[in-house]
Amino acid sequence: MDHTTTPRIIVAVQIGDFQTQAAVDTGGVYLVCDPEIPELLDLEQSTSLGMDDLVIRGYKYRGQLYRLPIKFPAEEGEGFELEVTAFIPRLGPGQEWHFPSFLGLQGCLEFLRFAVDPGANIFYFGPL
Amino acid sequence: MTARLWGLHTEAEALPVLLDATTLGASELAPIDWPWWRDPAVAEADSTNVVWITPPFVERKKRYLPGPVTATGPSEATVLPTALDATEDSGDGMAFLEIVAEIGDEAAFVRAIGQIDWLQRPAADFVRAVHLALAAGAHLLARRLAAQGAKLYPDHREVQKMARILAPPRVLRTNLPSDTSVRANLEWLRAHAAEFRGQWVALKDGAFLASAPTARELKGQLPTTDGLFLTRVV
Repeated sequence: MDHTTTPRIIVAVQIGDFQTQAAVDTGGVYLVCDPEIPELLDLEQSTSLGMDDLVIRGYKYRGQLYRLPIKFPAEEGEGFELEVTAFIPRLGPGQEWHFPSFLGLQGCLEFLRFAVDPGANIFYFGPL
Repeated sequence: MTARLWGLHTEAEALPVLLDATTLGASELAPIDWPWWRDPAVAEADSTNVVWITPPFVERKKRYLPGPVTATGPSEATVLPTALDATEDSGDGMAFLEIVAEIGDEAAFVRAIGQIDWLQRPAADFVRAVHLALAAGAHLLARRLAAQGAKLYPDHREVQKMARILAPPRVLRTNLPSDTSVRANLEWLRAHAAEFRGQWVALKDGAFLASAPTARELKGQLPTTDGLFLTRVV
């Protein structure tokens, strides 16, 4: 379980035609999507690798890697769009998902300059 | 630039292989004709905790079940997969890669990959090795292998696809207009998270539209998802 008892850096991102939220995870990799995100996306046109395993917060999940566009909307200034590596878990029987989506460093945030002002609750970002 | 460097260091180091021989089913009986890549001499005995990986001793045991993964180390209980047996290795090192990938020993995997001459390997080995690298948690190495395979095999569809999917992020557009609803939606979530924990919610400009137990049910309640903020409340 990953309840929200610890501070997280949550940012808004746009995947497909809708916005959602994701937690910044500099110790993680890829854009790790909530397993139900495919219900809201048309992934048929996206190429994916076969099933792979990824360890997320200590739990091993099987899923597929995609190449997806993701927008970082900005409240002030300019937003931008990146093409990133995205992992979409496919839950097995009995598996549950108690996490937000994650923005990992490799494959996602590595081409982003970013800074956090916890006091003002602001996430600054821009492309490299 | 700094962020890219952060992602490099973990796979840049070749560390001694630290595994508990008992978990590999080792015995003292079988004589071994060591291929060069699994010769014990290649490992440095710089610690009393170093135990050589001995693939020929591997016994078939239960598959390691998905579940909480603890810190890796010499005493971690590890059970090798039923499908793998290093005695089946044709000498090209691929079976050994599978073993260390299954164990999840990233450092050992990186080391084993470095002992293979990839210029002589078919495209299928690149495909296999990339999947194994991902399983081992060696994500940067998976990217590099895919990129190298793509250079060597420009007409191989699977290798090309792997290289494209695992490639570094690419900026598509940089001048998107600002969106004032961003903060309003996140603030609504902060204020109402406890009420909707575990639910999917739809918001627009900081105003609640709908909620449902699943994303599919939520989508069914909405005429369109275009421009909305949709998330599971965690």
